[in-house]
Amino acid sequence: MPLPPGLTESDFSDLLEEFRQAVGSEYVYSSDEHLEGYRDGVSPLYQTDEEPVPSAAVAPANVEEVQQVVQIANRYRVPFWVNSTGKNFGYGGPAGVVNGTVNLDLKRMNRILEVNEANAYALVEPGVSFFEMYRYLRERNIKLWLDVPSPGWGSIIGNTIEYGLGYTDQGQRVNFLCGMEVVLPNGEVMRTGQGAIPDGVTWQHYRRSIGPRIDELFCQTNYGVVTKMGIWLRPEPPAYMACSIMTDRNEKIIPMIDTMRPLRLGGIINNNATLYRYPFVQEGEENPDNPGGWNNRVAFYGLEGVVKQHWEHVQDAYNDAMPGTTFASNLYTTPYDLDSLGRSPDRLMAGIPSLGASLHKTYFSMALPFDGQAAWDLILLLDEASKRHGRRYFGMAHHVETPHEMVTTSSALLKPGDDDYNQTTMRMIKDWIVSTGEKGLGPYRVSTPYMDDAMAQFSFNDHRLRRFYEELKDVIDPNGIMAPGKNGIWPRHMRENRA
Amino acid sequence: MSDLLDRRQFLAKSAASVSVPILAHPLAAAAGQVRLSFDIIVVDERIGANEGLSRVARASGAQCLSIRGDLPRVWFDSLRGACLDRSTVIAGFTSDLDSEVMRAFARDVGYRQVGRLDISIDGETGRETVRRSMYSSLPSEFALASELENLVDLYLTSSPWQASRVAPGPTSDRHGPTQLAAWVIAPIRA
Ligand SMILES: Cc1cc2nc3c(=O)[nH]c(=O)nc-3n(C[C@H](O)[C@H](O)[C@H](O)COP(=O)(O)OP(=O)(O)OC[C@H]3O[C@@H](n4cnc5c(N)ncnc54)[C@H](O)[C@@H]3O)c2cc1C
Repeated sequence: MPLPPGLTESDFSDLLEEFRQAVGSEYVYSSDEHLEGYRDGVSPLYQTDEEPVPSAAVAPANVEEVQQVVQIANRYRVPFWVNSTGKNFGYGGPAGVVNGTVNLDLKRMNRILEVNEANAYALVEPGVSFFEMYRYLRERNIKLWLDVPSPGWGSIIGNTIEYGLGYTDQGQRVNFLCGMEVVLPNGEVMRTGQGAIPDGVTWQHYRRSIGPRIDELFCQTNYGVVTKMGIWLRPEPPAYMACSIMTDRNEKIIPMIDTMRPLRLGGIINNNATLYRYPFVQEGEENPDNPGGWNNRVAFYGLEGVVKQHWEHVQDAYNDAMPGTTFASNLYTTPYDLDSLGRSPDRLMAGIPSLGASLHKTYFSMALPFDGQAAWDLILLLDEASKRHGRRYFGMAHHVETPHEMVTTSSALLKPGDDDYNQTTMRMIKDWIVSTGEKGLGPYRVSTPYMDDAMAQFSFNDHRLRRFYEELKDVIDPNGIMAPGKNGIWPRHMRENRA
Repeated sequence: MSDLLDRRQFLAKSAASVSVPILAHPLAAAAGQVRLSFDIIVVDERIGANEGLSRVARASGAQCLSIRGDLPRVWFDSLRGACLDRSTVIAGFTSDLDSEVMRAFARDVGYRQVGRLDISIDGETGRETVRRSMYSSLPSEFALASELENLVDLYLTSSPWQASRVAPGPTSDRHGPTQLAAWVIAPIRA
């Protein structure tokens, strides 16, 4: 495996020795066998010359050890990349952007520090996965639901601070984040919000302190290692209904979204409603000329009578706007037997981690206005861009995160070992990013190989936003050691690396 | 694949304690016996169910664990615990995504994926179209990786691919090639 940038063999061996002193030799990994697991096997760059390969990995057990590791990294000016559970598949996996990065693996910090049932919140460490939290709540019969992404393998902290999406009425989960503890790149520990008061009692209740709320400075950035985070949960509702609204033609995405908008804005539909292509089309067969339609998945939570009434209202609205729409629904009431909930979408919208099999993919997600024509135009635009690379496009999922916007996640196939194919995929995604940028649309989450391209789209006033991020970077992390290049934010001494 | 027979012969020679005769399998018959070093074989029954495989697993004393696309759940419920002894060897026939996920789970417990084959089976012809070893195994891992190849071969030949399972439907609903990954994880020796 490579050396960290700028280090000699002997520096590197000293560095590893210092890491061993800090966390114990068992938790410092530098053999090829260990480091293979820190590479992104789902990257278009995997096993190519351009793949950023880690030089070592370190797994501290607690905040003090994280501080020591960060201080050591500062002394050696070694870049590190943080993994909470390091399963960021499709968006870069566990790997960083720079070759020779050290992985800071927080898997051993996996305590659920508090669950407060009365006030519906939890305080967790980075290594706590969604699945473990789900199990924890169920085994103790705690009547709280947690919003989850579809796979349960990931970390509540890692996914939430990447602006990960769930499917419940807390689907834009970052808005339910309440209080953080962060190890800054100089090794100091800081708590945000009411946590900044020693023994602050409202740390997980109230999200601000005096002055600006800064938690999102640590989301999708490289400004600090989050070591604790509060997250609001939702009380188990008395009734829950999981519903599907289906159309038969692709272009009906336009009325479908436009019909949903007032329902979502008016609070009738409250969850992160998703639209998927239906029936499911395999990769390689996607293209807008295929007939087929959409499945809009929505959920209702509350009193049984109210839930049923909302669903009836929604069906009426779709029947009026789009005769021929078909509907399906499942009503669940307390006492729930959550583990036996059948269909995967029903499980997800009840906050039960689930997962269907999926092929090798790389993801690109972007923000859209909540507007049917905008969604259709985007599909056509991305298809045109795909055709330039000999491929076709047909979208993947639209998430109505909030009543005001949608997030569209697109994926492109990768073929393990087929470098030509994967290079084409990469060029196509970069083309998607530029083509949509030219139309005033920006990405919200991309995989590591496209981070510079994504950030470059936000170019208003000579990239003032990026320059601002980098000014902050230089102040907070003067040695530029934490996750250089993450989302196109580079430390001063590496800016010439920008793609 | 040209070196597969050599590996099989290697295995046949080294087969000792837990040897399992696989009489129904022509290649195995040629080689005599196949030893299985896997303690657990995970099979995603939506894509990888295969009677021959289960029979061999059972006969060798390996525990055959059936999943339905829920590998993460099974990992947290049981497989992770099984790895705590740092000697359990686990093989799997799952989706390629689950194979990648397993690589990351293995990392968390000081294991590594020592062998992996990605297999693509054409939905219409039932023909195996791709079969590629993802890693170069270390000498100490060679036997495990070879056994995996052997098992994959058995999988593909002992009970013919069920064309009906992947029969083409209407254009928009047609199945593409079935992607299957076979993998094995084992503890990293210090
Ligand atoms: C089939 C499939 C389905 C998916 N479905 C979804 C979905 O429904 N919703 C969704 O949101 N995602 C989804 N994903 C993407 C991804 O798998 C998940 O988001 C996953 O939870 C991320 O991995 P993780 O939690 O282990 O994060 P990590 O890999 O631990 O973290 C992600 C990134 O956040 C930063 N980071 C992590 N921890 C810290 C920390 N403590 N301090 C500072 N920075 C940190 C690092 O830059 C890191 O690379 C899906 C992926 C696949 C392949």
